[in-house]
Amino acid sequence: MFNVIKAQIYQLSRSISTYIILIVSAAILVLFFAAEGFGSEQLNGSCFAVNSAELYSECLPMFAMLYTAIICAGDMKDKTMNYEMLSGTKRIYVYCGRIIVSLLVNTLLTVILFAVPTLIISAIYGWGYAVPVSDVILRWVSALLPMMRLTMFYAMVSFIFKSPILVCTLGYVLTFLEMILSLFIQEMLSAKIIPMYCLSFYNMTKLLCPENYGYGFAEEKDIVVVKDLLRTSTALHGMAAGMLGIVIFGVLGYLAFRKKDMG
Amino acid sequence: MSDTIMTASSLTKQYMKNTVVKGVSFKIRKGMICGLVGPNGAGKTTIMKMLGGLTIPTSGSMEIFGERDEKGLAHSRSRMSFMIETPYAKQNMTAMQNMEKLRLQKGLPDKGRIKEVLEMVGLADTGKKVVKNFSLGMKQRLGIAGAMLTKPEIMVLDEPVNGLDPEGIVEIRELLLKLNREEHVTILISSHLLSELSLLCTDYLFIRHGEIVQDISADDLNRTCHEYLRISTDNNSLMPAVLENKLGLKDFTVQKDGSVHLYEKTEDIRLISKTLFENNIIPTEIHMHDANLEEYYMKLVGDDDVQRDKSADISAVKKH
Repeated sequence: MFNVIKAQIYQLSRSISTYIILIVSAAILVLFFAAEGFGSEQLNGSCFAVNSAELYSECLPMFAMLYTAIICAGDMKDKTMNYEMLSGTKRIYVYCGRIIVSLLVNTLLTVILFAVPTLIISAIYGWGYAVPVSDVILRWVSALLPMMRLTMFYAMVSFIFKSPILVCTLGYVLTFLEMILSLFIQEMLSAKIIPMYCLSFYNMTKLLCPENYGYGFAEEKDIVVVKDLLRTSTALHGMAAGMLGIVIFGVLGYLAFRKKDMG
Repeated sequence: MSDTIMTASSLTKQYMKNTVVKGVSFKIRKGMICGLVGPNGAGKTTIMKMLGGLTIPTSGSMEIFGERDEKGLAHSRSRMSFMIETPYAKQNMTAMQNMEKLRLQKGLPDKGRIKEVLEMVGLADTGKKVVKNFSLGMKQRLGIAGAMLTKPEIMVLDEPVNGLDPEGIVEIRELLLKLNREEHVTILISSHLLSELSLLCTDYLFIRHGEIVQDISADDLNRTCHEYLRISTDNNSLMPAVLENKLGLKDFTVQKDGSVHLYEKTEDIRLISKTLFENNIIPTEIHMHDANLEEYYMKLVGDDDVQRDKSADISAVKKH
């Protein structure tokens, strides 16, 4: 399995599409931030973290989907994955190797796209008072699990459908439906129920995005501050649902791949 | 040439109601170059995919290097190399990068081997040219380079000369013969280019509609397809001794009905007849049989298949 991981990392590092997706992702985020005037009149690390959370919760899964489709379905489409099995690598290693690389890449993507700009802005403008650093760290660390769960979901779709384009199309449609379903349940049923955590987007948004804001006074001016810090129970629910999803999608994906005839 | 290293027993593959491989059994012995011959759609690639673990057989079993279970077979496959359907190639990477990825994936420590195999197949100087800009023949050669990277004991090659120019075909043939003779690599190779295989193989498996219709050595095939005189007499039991002792003939076979197939001096019909008469044996039939590989192939795979597989190059079969 370690060899599969090494080969995948080598391939990704040599592929121009790896860098194009990263650059395009960053450019899309920058454009959105710029269009919104970076979210508030104040620009500092904490304001950026708070104001960008919703955008990240919507965009990051899409970028992760692209990488997962390339890693898991790309080698199936051009049949280079066949050669791993032909050289005696067990299917479980072929599968897990790609899953691990997808998780690593998407975690790295999250860190690059969120942590890097946050650190740069903080270094230039300071952290500010909108939200404590600890709350942002807790939100992002706990949100990594729903992110991984989404990765596993896209990986499962990849191992079933083989084509990166099909995976992205289907992944986008399913993700969009889930977003609508999540909103519908929230709005129509005012749901505060555990099953809501079964929806990856709800899960991710719940962990990343603060809901209640208020005004505070600091440095002789009114500033927007987050009133609801992430509760431990919410973080635990989200993380548990994330882990459960990882296991379920992981097992389902492998079951689909285990006896699959490689065309 | 006696130890069996690969055995397929009643391998069957069924897709829905369509059975593409029907109870195929064969043995591959160490040192063989075995040609899997048949028209397109006969089941050659499916058999190879089952051997490689890409396709799960509906029924039947296989044994490779003495291993039968999945775990053991996976280990056995690490001693083999395959090139099935599409050659190994990431389109946006160079030949060198493709080989490096394959080296990492196979866990090979020797980086120098990459240069060696690329030189062997004539792709060492492709520099930064990515595979998508390669010709079909270059891609095919890259696939063969990938198959040679591990110094395998068995190579399973699915139509490896497809798309190659005549010069490339000769190079690959010589390379495979060299690997077989010098490094004792056993080769299972499929093709519909019977003419090409006849210059390479020591054994043949003819396949038609998913079934092995003939398992024959190259010697036997050449003998079968060779010109021969079929001789029947009123005293078949005495005839072999007369041919051997009086005419000094040795290259003949006695058939079940007692008739003889004579493969040498077939032009001396008068002398043979005269000698048989002088020894009180009356020939009842002396008939020149002019079979060749083309006829043999057509007889085995059937006209319908030959017509369907227009690309099958069977006309240039070398007569031995």
